[in-house]
Amino acid sequence: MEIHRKQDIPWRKIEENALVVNPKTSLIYPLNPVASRIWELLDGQNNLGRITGIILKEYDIDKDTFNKDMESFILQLEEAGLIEKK
Amino acid sequence: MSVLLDSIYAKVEALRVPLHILLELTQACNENCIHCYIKGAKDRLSFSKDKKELSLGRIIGLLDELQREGALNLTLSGGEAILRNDFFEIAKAARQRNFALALFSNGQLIDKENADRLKEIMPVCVYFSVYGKDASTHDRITRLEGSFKKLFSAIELLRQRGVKIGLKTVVMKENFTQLKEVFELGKYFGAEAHQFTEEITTRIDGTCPGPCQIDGCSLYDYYKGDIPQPREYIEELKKEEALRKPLCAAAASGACISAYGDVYPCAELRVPLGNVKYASFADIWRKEEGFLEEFLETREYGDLPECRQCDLISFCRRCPGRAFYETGDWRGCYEHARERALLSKRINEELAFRR
Repeated sequence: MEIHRKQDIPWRKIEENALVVNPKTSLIYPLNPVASRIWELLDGQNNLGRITGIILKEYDIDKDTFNKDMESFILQLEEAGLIEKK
Repeated sequence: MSVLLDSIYAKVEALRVPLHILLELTQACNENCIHCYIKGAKDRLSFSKDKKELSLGRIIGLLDELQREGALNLTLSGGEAILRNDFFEIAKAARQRNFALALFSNGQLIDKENADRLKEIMPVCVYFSVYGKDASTHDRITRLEGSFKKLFSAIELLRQRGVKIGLKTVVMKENFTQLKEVFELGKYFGAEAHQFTEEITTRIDGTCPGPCQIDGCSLYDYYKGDIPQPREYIEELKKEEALRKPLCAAAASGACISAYGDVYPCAELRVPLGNVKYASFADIWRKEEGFLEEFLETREYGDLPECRQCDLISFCRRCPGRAFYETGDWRGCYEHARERALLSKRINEELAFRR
C-alpha cells in the first residue's frame, strides 16, 4: 500500500525535528526526530516497508517497538487527515 | 499523536526560528476605524527611503527566504490586504511554499468571486474584526456605512465554502455595553476563535491610541466579567518564580514585516531591525547586535531593573512596544501596564476572599 503526505499540509523541518500543522484544527504537531524522518519519507516515493527499513538502518531502535509506534503514528496521521492512501 | 511527539519550542526560540510572521501588505484600507494604529500614519523609525510598498517580486523572494528560515505561520495583514491587486498571487505563492496561511481582513472586498478564490487557497483561518452587535455600532467604529452588512455577507460566503473564520473584537468605550451580544454573534457565526482585547495598539507614529480606550471603572468590570471567559483565581508567584516569568517572545520566534519592508520584533514594537528592500531577511534577522542583541538578552522579568523591585509581576502583562511608546524605553515600567496589573491583583484578591 502506498501512503504519502498530503501536498498542501503546512510543515517545516527544524534541525532533526518537524512541525506539522493540521489545517482542519490549526493544531501544530511537534514531531520527534524519528517521526520527522518518517514524515519526510512519506513523499510518495517510499512504501511503508521501505520507510521501516530506512528508519531501522538510521536509528538504533528495537524493531518490534518501532513497528508498533509506526502503526500507531500512521493511524494518527490518517485520522488527522494529513496523509493519503493509494 | 502521542508516541512520536516532541517538545521543540525551546529549540525554536534558542535557534531563533521565525516561526510566526505577520506580513503587512499595505497600509491602505477601505475602512477608517476610530482606533486604527496604522492607516495614514508613518512609522517613526522606518528605514525605507522611497516609502513604497514592497513589490510583488520582492514579496515572492521574501517568502522563499522566510521558508528557508523555518517560518511556518504566516499572517497576511494590512491595512486591508485584499486591496492589493496582487493579493491572490501573494496568498497563492505562500500556500505553494507550505505556510500555514492566515488572513486579517475587514471583509469588505469578499464577494462570491473572492470567496471562491480564498476557498481555492484555503488559509487555515480568515480573521475578521467585529466591533458591535449591530450595524449602528460597527459602522460607527469603522466609519464606513454598510461595513457590518458586508462583513456579515463575507462571513456567510466563506462559511458556505468551508473556509474557517475567526473573530477579533477590540473592547472600547463605543462597544463596552455590547460585549455579551458580540460574543454570542461569534458563536452564531461559528467562529473557530474569538479574541477580545482591551489593549488598543499605539499608532505607529507614536501618537496616543485615542479617546476610545475604556476608563478604569469599565476596565475593572471587564476584567471581572465573564466575556470571553469567567476570570479565575490565580496563585500569586513567589518572588523568585516571578522574576523568572518569561517576557514576550518577539524577535525570538516571530517578527512583523511592514508594507514598506521594515522588519520589526512585532507589530507593536516598531524598532526596525532592518529593511528587506536593502538586505535579505536572514541577514537582518541574524545580525544580533545593538538593540536586537540587548532585546534578546532580556528574556525574563528579572532581567528588567524596575521589575526586580516590583511586587506586581504575577499580574503584569507588560508589552515592550507599549513601554517604548509611553516612556521611550522598551525596558521601562509604564502607567498602562501598572494600572492593569494593580486591577488584576485587586480582582484576584476579591476572588480569593470568595473561595
